[in-house]
Amino acid sequence: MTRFGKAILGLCIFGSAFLALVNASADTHKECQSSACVDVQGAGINQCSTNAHCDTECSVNGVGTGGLGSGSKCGECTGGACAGEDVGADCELNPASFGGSFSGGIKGKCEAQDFCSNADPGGKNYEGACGMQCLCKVKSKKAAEVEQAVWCENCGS
Amino acid sequence: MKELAGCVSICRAFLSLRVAYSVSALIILSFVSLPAALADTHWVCQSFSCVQVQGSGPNQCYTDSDCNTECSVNGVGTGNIYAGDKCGECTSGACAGKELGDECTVTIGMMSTGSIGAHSGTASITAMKKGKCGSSSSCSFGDPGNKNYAGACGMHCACDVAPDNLAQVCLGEPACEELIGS
Repeated sequence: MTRFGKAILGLCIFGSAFLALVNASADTHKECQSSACVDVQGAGINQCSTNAHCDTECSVNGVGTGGLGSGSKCGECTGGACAGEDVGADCELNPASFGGSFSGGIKGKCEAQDFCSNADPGGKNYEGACGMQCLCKVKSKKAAEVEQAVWCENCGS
Repeated sequence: MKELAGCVSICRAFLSLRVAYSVSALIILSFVSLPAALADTHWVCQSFSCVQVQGSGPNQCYTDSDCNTECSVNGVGTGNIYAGDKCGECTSGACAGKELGDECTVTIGMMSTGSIGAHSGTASITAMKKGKCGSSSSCSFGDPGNKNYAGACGMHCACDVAPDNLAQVCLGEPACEELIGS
């Protein structure tokens, strides 16, 4: 390899390491831990931005609900398939509106979109520890196809 | 020998001309056909993914989330997920619960005012027309009813009674019952 080639290779390695370092430091998110909002390493959805989102009674439109939502729970603002579930829990969606290709519910996982106090779902004003705004997301295309194939095998019997 | 060299050079020139012509033709063809090909595609939900398909049609999605995520209205989950070709959460009226292209029936007149001798009054007449459920956008990219739809909410449909959509009119109850039932 020529001297020029070595220089280019060195520059690439140094650049990649620098970018990886920058990305790693950027990959943090906030979570409620022991009633405080703390920075956690790794990518993820923020559960809070201040301690009040972890340690203060959830209120909707200024009225206290008497509840203290956990950062890992689908909270006060979650309706539908994930109401009352944990973030990452299994959920089932109504198959009736899907054209009848599924016999049981369409299975998915509860994914957090944002925390209720930040999102304003339903045009309501959530404050305090109201938990997460979750929606049910269907498994990957491949997993869904496998599930459908298994179901079709059972269809005939 | 000189003649042979001349022949070879003429053949080369002819070949290079042909190549140049073919390349130019290809470039021109791609300029003409590429925009047409690009224009005649649309996005549909298939197996919970948003994919581009050939042909014109209303877009059902732009990202996979429009096909694989619970339909939410104003940020709150509905517990429903709609197939891309279903008239969805934001569709009410004649096409609610139907698929794109399904037949639908709309009421086009209900009341008639008239008089017989000294008596005048209003009589109700049922008049209906048959059409097909059409759509130009999905619920998530409309804003029907000033609501914010997101995720797999299906299509925003309305009953289209254009003449080429098998438009049929009925007047009066027996005829309309027959039309709806048919």
